[in-house]
Amino acid sequence: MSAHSQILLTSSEGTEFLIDRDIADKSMLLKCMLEDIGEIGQAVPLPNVSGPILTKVIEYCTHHRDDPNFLSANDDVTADIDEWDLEYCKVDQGTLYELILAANYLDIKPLMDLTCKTVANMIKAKSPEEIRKTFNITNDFTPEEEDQVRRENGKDWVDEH
Amino acid sequence: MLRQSVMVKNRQLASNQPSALQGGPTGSRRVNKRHLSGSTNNDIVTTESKRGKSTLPVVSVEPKDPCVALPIEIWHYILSKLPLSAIAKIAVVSKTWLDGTSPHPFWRKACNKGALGEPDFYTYSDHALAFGERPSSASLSVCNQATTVSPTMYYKLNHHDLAGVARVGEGDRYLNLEVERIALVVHGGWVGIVVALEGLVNKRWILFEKRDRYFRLHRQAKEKAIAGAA
Repeated sequence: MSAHSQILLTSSEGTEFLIDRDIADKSMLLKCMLEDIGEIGQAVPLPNVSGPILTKVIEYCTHHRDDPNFLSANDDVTADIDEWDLEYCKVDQGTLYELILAANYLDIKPLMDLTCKTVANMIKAKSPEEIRKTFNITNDFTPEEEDQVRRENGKDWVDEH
Repeated sequence: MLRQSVMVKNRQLASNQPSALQGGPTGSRRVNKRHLSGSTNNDIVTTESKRGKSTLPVVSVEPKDPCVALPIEIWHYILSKLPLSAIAKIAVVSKTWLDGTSPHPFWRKACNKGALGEPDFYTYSDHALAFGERPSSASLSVCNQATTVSPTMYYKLNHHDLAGVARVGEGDRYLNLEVERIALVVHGGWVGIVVALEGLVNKRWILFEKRDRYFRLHRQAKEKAIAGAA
């Protein structure tokens, strides 16, 4: 297999993407598949991923193409996200969730970590009311129910912020 | 601070958009969720050869509830990126969020973060295990309320965990009691919260002292045995 071999992917709506093999290898799903069955010279259908999202995913994999630390999982929750990644995640929430689903499906752990961390950061250090506003969530607790949950979960901790 | 600005940006982005783009009604959330997480859209008809850039995503730009939009395993993965004390707080956001924070496997995993649930030695109580990251043979801190400690190193707490706790004197010093209480919650999760709420911290100190005594006796006995053999 030459280093410059290319893979054809088909998104859910049938759009085709021609990408380099080393970029495809960032996805464990594609990597394992290509190792198992070899390059068949046909497009690989990805029915769970839409074209625009696949474009975003490829953008991420291309940027981290030569990143030697790509797979050395960084589980440090408090670690800062690097600037490019931060910029990359400035998308609307719908796109962000679709990216999470795509990263999960394609099995790209660093992208999964990055996007999930982004959502976690949107939740972190916010009061429940602020969280509801951020995600457009309706509070469906009656005041009594909410009070009970607060009691069960520790009023001190819930009211801290 | 960077995070804040991202969030603000996102919100602005969302509110600038016309509401006509809003997705489905807010009812039937779980159904909605299944639709999103569920697979396939197999009707691949067109094969227009577009390479590289594609059209803009056709997704709703309204803020969406991640707990509803994402499968539960992914939601739990997101929660695993949060400090445990934050997870306790978010349960009051909505019924779905309360649901999403409570399933057993998640809590078991979360508690393993503080090495709870897998006592290596001499289990007197759950709470004594809250400091599981500490090697069990390490000598235990003198639990004096009045001593001040620097929490970041010994207790592995960060400043987010300590928001709202008063400092003592200059520099990074806090009251031991406060720091231990917070460390219990951060590392001990649910168990730690219960402990802190029920005022069991004192009880834990007693248990710790007992454990400490046990270790000392154990060590002495071992040393004697070695001396005897020699």
